[in-house]
Amino acid sequence: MSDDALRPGGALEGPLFRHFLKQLSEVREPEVGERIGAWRILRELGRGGSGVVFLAERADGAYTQQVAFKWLRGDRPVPGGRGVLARERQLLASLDHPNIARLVDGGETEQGMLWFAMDLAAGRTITEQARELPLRARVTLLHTLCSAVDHAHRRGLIHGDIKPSNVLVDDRGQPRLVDFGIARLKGAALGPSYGLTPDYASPEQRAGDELTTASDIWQLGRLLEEMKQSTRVGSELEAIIRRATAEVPEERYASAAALAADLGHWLAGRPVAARGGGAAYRLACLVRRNRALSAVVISAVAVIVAGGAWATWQLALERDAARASAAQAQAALEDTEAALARARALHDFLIGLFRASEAGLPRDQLPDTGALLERGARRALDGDSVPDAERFGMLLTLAEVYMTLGRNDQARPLLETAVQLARRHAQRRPEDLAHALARQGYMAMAEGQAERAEAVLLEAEAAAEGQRGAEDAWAHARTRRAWLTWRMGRVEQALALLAPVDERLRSDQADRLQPATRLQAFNALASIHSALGDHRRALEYRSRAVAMAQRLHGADSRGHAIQLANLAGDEIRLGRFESAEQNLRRAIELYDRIFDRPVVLRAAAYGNLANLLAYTGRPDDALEMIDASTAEWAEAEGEPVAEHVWRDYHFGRLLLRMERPDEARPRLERALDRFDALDQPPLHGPIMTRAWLARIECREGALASGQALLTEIDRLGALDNAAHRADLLEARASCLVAAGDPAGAIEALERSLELVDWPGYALHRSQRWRLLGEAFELAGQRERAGRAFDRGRVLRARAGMADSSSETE
Amino acid sequence: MPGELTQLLQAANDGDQPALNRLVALLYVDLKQLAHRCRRGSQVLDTTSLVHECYLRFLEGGRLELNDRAHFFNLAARVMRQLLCDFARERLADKRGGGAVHFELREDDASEWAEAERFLAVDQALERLAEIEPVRARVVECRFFAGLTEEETAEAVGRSLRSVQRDWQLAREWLGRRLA
Repeated sequence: MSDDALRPGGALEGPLFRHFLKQLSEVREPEVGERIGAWRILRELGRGGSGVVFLAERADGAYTQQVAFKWLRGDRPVPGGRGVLARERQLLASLDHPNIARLVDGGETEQGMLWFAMDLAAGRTITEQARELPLRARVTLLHTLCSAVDHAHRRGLIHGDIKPSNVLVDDRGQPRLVDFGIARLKGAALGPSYGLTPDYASPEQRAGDELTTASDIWQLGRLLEEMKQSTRVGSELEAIIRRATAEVPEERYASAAALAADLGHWLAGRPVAARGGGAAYRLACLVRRNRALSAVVISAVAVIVAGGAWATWQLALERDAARASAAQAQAALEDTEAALARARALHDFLIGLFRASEAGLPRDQLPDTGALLERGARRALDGDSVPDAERFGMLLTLAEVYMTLGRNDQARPLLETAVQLARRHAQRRPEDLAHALARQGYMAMAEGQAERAEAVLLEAEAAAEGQRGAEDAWAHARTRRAWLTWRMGRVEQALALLAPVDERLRSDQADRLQPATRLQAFNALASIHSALGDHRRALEYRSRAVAMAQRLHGADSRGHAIQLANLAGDEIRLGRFESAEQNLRRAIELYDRIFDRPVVLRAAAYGNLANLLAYTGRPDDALEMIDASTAEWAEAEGEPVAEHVWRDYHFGRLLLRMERPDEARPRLERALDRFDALDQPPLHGPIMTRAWLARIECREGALASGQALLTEIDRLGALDNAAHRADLLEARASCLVAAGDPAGAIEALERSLELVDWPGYALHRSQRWRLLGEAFELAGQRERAGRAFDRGRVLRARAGMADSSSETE
Repeated sequence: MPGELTQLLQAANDGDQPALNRLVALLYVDLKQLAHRCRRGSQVLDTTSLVHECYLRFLEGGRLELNDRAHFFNLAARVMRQLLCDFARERLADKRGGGAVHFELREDDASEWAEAERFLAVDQALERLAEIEPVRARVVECRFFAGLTEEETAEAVGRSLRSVQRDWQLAREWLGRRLA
């Protein structure tokens, strides 16, 4: 470049800037307040070379939604091709993945300018975020991204413009790919290389060729290269980058999933790679992963979704790698061969199921899931079909599917056969036995057979304990047992059981545990901390569980619905009612879609919603909801609704909390009769029912009968759930006030208020403060009494309860 | 009570992205007006002084403090570089897009493309320069891309006039060697 060109203002005096100004003067941009399609422009978010991004909202009033509205500048309209654009847009709109910002709408203005409405994605670009992360976390981000891209590729969609500014990382650390397919839409209208980003243009893009999935893989590789920044990385990661960004598309990874898989290897292999055992260790990792059951499940899904080619290809690749270093890895090779055989057998098995569809079914129509499963179960149970190891995988996979659908009767014989098989090979493959037993234990738990469940889970743990390669199986069984322990009311013990799992989750070897196991552990830890009243930590674990469930199972999945419903539980306690209600209703909507019969999950969500309604001053709705909840609960357990033990318990609980003791009393008395008739009711049932009854009795002056109930509680045992303990203290205080012992009552109430100081429990706390006021009055401390009453009134108003006496405040 | 512009500039300077976006949008409106005037006046050669006028009008509208002027010049330089380089990329993409979608080939396309390539080369070289001599890179941004005067550049980078003159000279030499 000549020196002369670098003069002051040089950039503003050439033809380029003149053209820029000309274009500026010609192009009409959308204005704030303007309506385009179904959208109204709210304000500008940013602008770049190829267009402007606005914040827009739906203007047709169909529902509230805000989007990032992208308007593509260009000095020429779209030449025809409307059909192409419309088809592509439809495909894009069908993308549903947590790590991809959805295309919501799109169109052309009258002047032929393109616009797109996308999910609003907030956050920093991936390279900005990467600066603050260790290499490992950076690679994990990219790994997640590869899976998202693969999801789209499988649906025939190509991004075409993967680059740092198109990958935003939200405040939970989740990456989100934006502008999916826009490059191609632009391409359809304006030629394949329109507006591409020089640094991120793949060789074939630069040559002006059509976009392909290989081009996305190149860009992912380029992104990885940029994200490693100046960090010195090992030769393995360099090799991954080299392969992804190979000049010739055929030499790159065949799919984004294959790139993801290799990044996964790198992530899993790192601890030992540092000791110099790189390749051999990676192989060992893979073998371990494939020996674990979940790999079979993953393969099964891959086979169903992508056709078997990918899953078997991946294993075949590893076999070749193992052969190359066969001398040192003979044993590993054998294991790989075995895993390959398993995947192939499963593949053939599943394909066979589809082939053997009913004669009457048209060729292009898929057999329904029920028929497929049934056929699969028949074959898996038939001992002659395949070798034991493969059969085991099929049995467990099918059992898992049935259990997910809540069809335990169909799952039971499959699990029993799987356990039998696994016992035969327990010596060589202890993790299989542990996994199968853990599932059996879980089923027993779901069916209310707590003791049997505990025994089976203990056996599962014992089978896996200290065995090489059985770490995940052990953690799985232990997490299930902790969950059971918690359900039995032994919260502290449950937390202690989970401590070693928690430690592993926090270590840098967390990903040696399968994602499903991690999800279970986060779920259990969140629930237990919540029960202990530590909502901050509960929310921490819970948000990881929500994200994990969404990633693992999808946004519309049962797993995600469960986590949303659980999240709502903590939100209620923290007083975040609006978000809690949203999450509960979303979970219920998902359950409605998934289940066509009564299930405990929906019953529990209804129950939480009933609580929320009661705590926010909507008593009639609350009672209606608790009716729906307990009815579904009874139906799910196959019991007559009117006789279900928890129905009266929950009705009584809510009625009393809503200050309707006369209606609560008969409910609680009936519940007590039912609990006392049971062999081993969960401890909190009979205890809390007595506590609430005692409260009613003492309030009404029946002191002796109230005190008798409290004495019985002492005999029954202790609870460690914070909300229960606070309730119990409240009951004791009621009776102490009635007995004329203000000092004891004050102490009990202060402890109760300290135990449950949750913003969402304003109703509970208002009643406790009021009682505290009465106790102070009784003790002759009028000033403190006044303050306590005031506090109660404020809280009562906050809980949406009408109170004539609060008008003075 | 400081004016909107002062608040925006301070927020943008503190790294507030929405404030920065709003400022860019505001500046853009002024550039558009400038563009319209250019069109009406058909033969305008001294676009640099027009753009410069545009900055000053922008500043006058806001009743700014001294410090804000520095923030503004800094920002304007960044924005102009970004806009021009984005546009250059777009134009080069048009070139690569080939004839199929090209309706008309303008006469000055060839010189525009050559200029676009030069801009992008300078842009890339500046990235390198920013790693070793960040102030010099900013001086080039202010002088070359935004057409700021020496005094304004000194304000923007917070250096003396003399050191800005020296930086500009050294940076030009460095770039000249690199882009030769």
